[in-house]
Parts: sequence; C-alpha cells; structure tokens
Amino acid sequence: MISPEEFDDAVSELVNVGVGRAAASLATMVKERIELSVPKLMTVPYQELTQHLGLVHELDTQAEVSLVQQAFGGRLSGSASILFPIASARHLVELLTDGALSAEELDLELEAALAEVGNILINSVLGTLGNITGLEVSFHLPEYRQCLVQNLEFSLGTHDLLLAVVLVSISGQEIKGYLLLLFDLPSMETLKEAIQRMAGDQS
Amino acid sequence: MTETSSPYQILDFVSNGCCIIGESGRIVFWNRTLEQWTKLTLGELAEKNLFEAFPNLALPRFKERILGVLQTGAPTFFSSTLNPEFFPCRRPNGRPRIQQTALNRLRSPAGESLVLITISDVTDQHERGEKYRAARAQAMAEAQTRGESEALYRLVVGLSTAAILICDPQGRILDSNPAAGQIFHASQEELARLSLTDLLAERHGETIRQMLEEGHMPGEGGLECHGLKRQGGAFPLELILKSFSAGAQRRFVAYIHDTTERKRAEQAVRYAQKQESLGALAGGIAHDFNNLFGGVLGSLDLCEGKLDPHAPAKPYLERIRGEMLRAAELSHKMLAFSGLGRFALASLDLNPLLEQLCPELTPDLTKNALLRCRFAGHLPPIEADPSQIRLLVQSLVSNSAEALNNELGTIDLITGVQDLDAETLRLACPGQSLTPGRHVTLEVADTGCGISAENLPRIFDPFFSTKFAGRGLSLAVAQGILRGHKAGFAISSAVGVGTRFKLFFPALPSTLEETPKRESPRQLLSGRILLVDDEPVLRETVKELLESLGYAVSTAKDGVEAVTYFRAHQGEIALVIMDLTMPNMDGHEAFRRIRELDPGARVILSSGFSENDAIFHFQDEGISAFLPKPYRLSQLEATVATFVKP
Repeated sequence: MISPEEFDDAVSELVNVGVGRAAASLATMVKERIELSVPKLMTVPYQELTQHLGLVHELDTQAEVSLVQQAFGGRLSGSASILFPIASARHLVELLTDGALSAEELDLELEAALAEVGNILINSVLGTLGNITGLEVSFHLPEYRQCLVQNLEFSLGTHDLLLAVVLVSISGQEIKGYLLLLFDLPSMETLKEAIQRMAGDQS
Repeated sequence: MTETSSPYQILDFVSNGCCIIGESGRIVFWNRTLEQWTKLTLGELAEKNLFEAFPNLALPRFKERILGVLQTGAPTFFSSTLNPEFFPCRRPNGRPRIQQTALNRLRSPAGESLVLITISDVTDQHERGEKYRAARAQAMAEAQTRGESEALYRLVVGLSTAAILICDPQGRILDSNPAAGQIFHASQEELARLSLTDLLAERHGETIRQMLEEGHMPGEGGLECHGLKRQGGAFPLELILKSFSAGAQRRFVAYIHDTTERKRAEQAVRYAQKQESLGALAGGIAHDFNNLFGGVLGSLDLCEGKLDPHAPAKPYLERIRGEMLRAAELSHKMLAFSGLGRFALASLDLNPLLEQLCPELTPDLTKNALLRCRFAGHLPPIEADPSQIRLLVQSLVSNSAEALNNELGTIDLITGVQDLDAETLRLACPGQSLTPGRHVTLEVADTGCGISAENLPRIFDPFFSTKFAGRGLSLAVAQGILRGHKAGFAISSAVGVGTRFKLFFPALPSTLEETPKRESPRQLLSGRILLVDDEPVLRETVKELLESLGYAVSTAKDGVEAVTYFRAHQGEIALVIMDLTMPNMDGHEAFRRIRELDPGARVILSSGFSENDAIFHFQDEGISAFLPKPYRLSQLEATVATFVKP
C-alpha cells in the first residue's frame, strides 16, 4: 500500500503533466508567454479547506473568489475546480484579453473568460490523469460561480480533497490560482489503487 | 454519411448552432440553424474537413483543443470573450454573431468517436451588455454633471450673505446655506427640523402659508417682515419666495436678506435730514430773534439814557434787559445747535484746552461726581474753534452730571487717536458723513442712569429732555457744534450702567494758520457812518444810539441802497456798519462792491448769525470788525470808537 506522501507525490506528477499541457493550450490563445508553475499538492479534508487557505495561503476568509467547477464521472467521480481570488481573476482576464476591456466590460466578461480558462486547465489535468491511469473519466461542462472563501465548503460538497496550488505567470506577472480536485471516497480508493498498480508495474 | 442516413436530424429543430465532426475534423452534420447563420448548407459542407472549411479553426489554439475532445472526451468550452467567432458569420443587421461554443464527445451508432459542437448565439446578451454599459456610462456622465452642478450650486449658495432656505409646500426646511444659520443664530441641523414660519414673527404666519399655497409672492418685490433669532430677538428682513419643481415635487426657495443694517442706515439718514431741517429752522429763528433782540436792547439803552438815574422805572428796565439777555443766550444756543454758523477754526491741541477746562467744570458737578481725566500724549491737532469745543465739553459733562442723579458716580474724559476706515465709520457713526482717516477722539463717559433704547434716537432733538428742569438743549448744541466741525460721534448706553459719548475729530496733518485775519485799527477817521440793515426798528434804534454818541449816521435798508449811497458819498463815509442777511443784495455782495469803490473802506459786519460765520465768508477780504447781534450800546460804542471819531 502506498503511503499518503507517495500518493500525493504521484498525483503531483500527473497534475504537473496536465498543467504543462494546459500552459501550452493557454499559450496558443495569447501572444504573451505563459508559464504554469509546478503544482504543490496536498490532501486536505474539505472541512479544513477554508482554514487551510487562510493559514497556509493567507487568503482572507471574507474575500470573494471566482470558482470554475467541472464535474466528472465514470471510474473516477467528483469535481475539479479552479479558484482565483477575484482580483487575480480580473487580472488574469485582463491579460488574456490584452487589456482591451474596460473595467465594466471586464466584470461582465469575467465569467465566460474564466470558464474557458478553467476548462482548459481542468481538461488538461483530468485528461492527463485519466489517460495515464487508464481510468475512464467522463466530464461535464464547466460552471462558474463566485463565493466567499469561508463559504467554499458549501460549494464543494462533502468530498475529500486534493489541493494543488498552481501559479499562473503571464509575461512575468504572477497570478496565483488553486486547483481543487475532489474525489468521492470510492474514487479516491480507485485512484490510489491505480497509482499503486502503476508503481508496481514500473517497479 | 448522407443526409438521409443522419440520425442527428433532430438537431435541426434546435435553436443553437450544432455541428458534428468525426475523426480528423470531418464534418458529419451541420444543422439548419448553422445553415441559416452561415449561409452554408450541409450539402456544401458534408464530408469536408472542418479545418479546411473554416481556416480560423486550423489555428493551434482551436485545432488542438478540438482534436483533444476527440482523443480525451473532455468537454471543451470556448468563451464568447476569448473566442467569440467560432464559425464566423454575421447577423442580419451586419454585426458579427457573438458565439459561445461547447464541444462534447459522443459516439455514433456505429461506435465512432464524434464531437458535437454546440454554438450559442449570445449576441443579444452582448448587445444588452453594451446598451447597459452605454446607459451606465451616460448615467455616470450625467451624475458627474449633476455633481458639478451641485458643487456650483453649493459654492454660490455658500457664498451668499443672504439666507437661502429650500422648503416643501408645507414650509418645512429641507436645505439651508451657512448664511441662514448666521442670520437666525441656528445650526443647519436645527434649521432642518424647523419650518419657514418658525423663523418669522407669528403675525406673518398666515401670509407665508398663503404664499406657499398659491406658489408665488403677492405683488412685485420682497415681503418686508420680521424674523426671529433662535436665541430670542426679532430683526427686520426682506423675504423673496419662489417656487420651482424638483422632479415631480414642488419646492420653494426662500431668499432672506437681513435688513437690520439697511433700516439702521435709513433711520440714520432720516434722522440726519430731520436734524438738518431742525437746524435750519432753529438757525433762521435764532437769526431773526437776534435782530429783534437787538432792536429791543438798543431801545432799552436809549430809554435808559433818557431817564433820570433814579427813575422808578429803571429797575423794571433792568429786569427787561436781564430777561432779554437770557433770551439772547437761548437764541445763541439755538444758533449753535443749527451748526449753520462757521466757527473760528484754527489748529487746536485738544489736551491743553481740556486741562484748562477741567478745573472750571468741577464746581458745577455734584459732590458725588468724580471727574477723571485720561489724556493720550502727542495728540495730532484738530481744526476747531476753542470756544465751541469748550461749550461742547461743558454740554456733555453737564449732561453726564445730570445722569448721575446726585448719586455716587464717575465722569471720564478720555482723549485718544484712532485710525478709522470707511466701514468702521459707517458702523460707528451711521448717517454721519465722516472722511476715513486719522481722528482725534474724545470720550465722555459716565456711570449714570443711562439712556433707554427708546429715548436714544431722540436725545439730540432740541428741547427733548427726560429731566424735569432740563431745557433739552445741551446735547442738541453739542451735536450742532460737532456738525460745524465735521466731527462725528458714537453713543453707547445701557440703563443703570451709564452712557459713553465718543467724539471723532478729523486730525490735521499740520497746524493750520489762524484764519481770522482782522485788520488792525488804523488811524481814527472823522466822517459819517453808513448803517445798513433791513430791520427798520433795529436800524432806527442803532442810528439813534450812534447819534447819541455824537456820530453822523446815514442808513440804508439793503445792499443796493448802501452801495448806491457809498458811491454817491465816497470820501464822506468813514465807516460802514453792515448787516449780513438782507434782501436784494446781501452784506457780502455789498461789502465787495464797496471795497471795489474804495479798497480802504472800513466795514464792520453785524449779524444775527455767529461772528464766525461772517469771518468764514470774509476771511480773505479783511473785514474791520464784527458786531454780533444783539449788541449793547457799550459794545457798539467800543467797537465803533476804534475806527471813527465822533
């Protein structure tokens, strides 16, 4: 049986591959150079998410965040979300639209643009995860919502949680985003088994 | 794949654009909505490659993600923000059709991997957003304009010295400017709790309510009424009320001007005019009386001269003379009050005069009154007549002494220097025409009974007195003297506390020369005296008096007769005694004509006005002497004897 640390490490690598693809995909959309950092991944119980974001990542629990959530089913069931503090979300869309939008337009277009960015990131990560583990994953289209950090738990539901912190850097301007992968308990076990099997195959 | 075999025809009934592609981007289905939008038919596109039919989708940003859906099955989303024209096409109005695109993998009945491309037309949504943004921008611009307008309104209203109140139709105050707070002695918060009628005297309430109801002022101009200060006290104001519409609501703006100062100035002008009229009247009467008294006194002298020194009638004649002299004194005071006479103005240092005068004043004061003097050093000189200033100070000190009512008190005499600007003079001496600049001040202050506000405006009226025994001329005389010196005054008084008179004399930059230039008596001449006077009684009496002294006298009843006579008898006339005020030709003109005929002619002027009035008019022309009316035989004899031998 793999240890929790080994599990986190393995999923980190898978997510890293997915994020790399996402970066390539995003880069095709803008002229600017896009870099996505190596994600730091950890498993956090959903009840502790707010506390964790506040303590470790210094997110104000009263702050508003943009959340793009994409549910998936099949052998792995749960949802993947990409989360940006609202100011970071605005900044990201501003950079992606090359500063062509006014502040008011930015507010109106935020939802659509972030939904697309989230879709690219989540597709890349989950697609990679499904391909490499051989676990078939079926996706739903992304949903966008805004909520306070302290209300995230209600938005995410009762799942165990994998939290990946991804730094998006466009033309050297760093924008911090958080990838949240939520699995139901059977899916988590399936994923662990798949990873263990992969580890066994490799060894 | 053909149209007939398509199991996807149900998508023709979907309002979204739907396209299905197979491996490598082969177009499998193209629904009617897309046909309508792009004008491209399924027949034209079927089996063609998506990336060839739509070259924009061959770009990596599209192609990789589209093919990725085929490979991974991950639903993919192209937003209307970042990728608004998936299938470039236009709406009927020519504007680009804004699209939001979702790609989902599905399986054909034969098990082939396909991608369903679903296009939502979000153009309307975008246009609504644009309209919203435009409307919002316009609203913001209007708000900014309103803000600027509001700022300008606040600035103008804030600068106004008049109170400006915004009221509703019930008179409730909705807004006010700072001046309103100052005028009514209330904070703007307090005003906001009040009604317009709360700020006005109760008797105006009905008028105001009617104005608010009818929405306009009665007639032209403002409404004169009385306002109420919140801490008590009424004041005159002028109210202009105008209605206006604030949206659907009716509002009123009340423009209120505090007219206290204006009323005070008007009152001061009226008072000055009244005093001037009174002065002219008093001066005229005094002049005529002096002429009459002259006749009576002269006749008395003649009468006495013809009586035996021990005649029983003599004491009665003495009594008549005494009363006549008192009447003459009164007449002189009236003349002084009139201020019409000019004084023997000379450069005068006030302090030495007062120092000399104070010991003389003390005996007249009661034993309870303490006279205290405080004179400022180095006073600039003033242009004044010493005798008149003495009379002025005597009048004021006498008035103060009487105000003490035999009770313990003080009278202060204080001199000083003060630079006064026009505004200070306007406030301190309303209605008095003083010239701004340096002034020598003289204060006479007492701790007496004070003057009530009701009586204050009347204290300078001649014969106005609150004292049983008073004749009421001392302050009238004082005012006349001040007027004659172009000096001003200010009074402050409180009942039970005392009264303070402050006099302002224009300071002189340098000492004036003594103005009266009298000709020194020259060698005594022999000859006839020409007596010129329009008063027949006086003329005859004086003629008789002079003749009784041994002089030869001719008379003339006016200037014309005098000049004619002088011309006819030039060389015979040693002296002319000339009245000043006469019909046809006055003494001034006659004097000039006579001097033209004989520059060395000796002329004594005589007048019922003051000597100084005469001197003022003749100061550069060398009159020989002046005889104030009424004069005694002894005065006449002494004056005439310096010029002519009997």
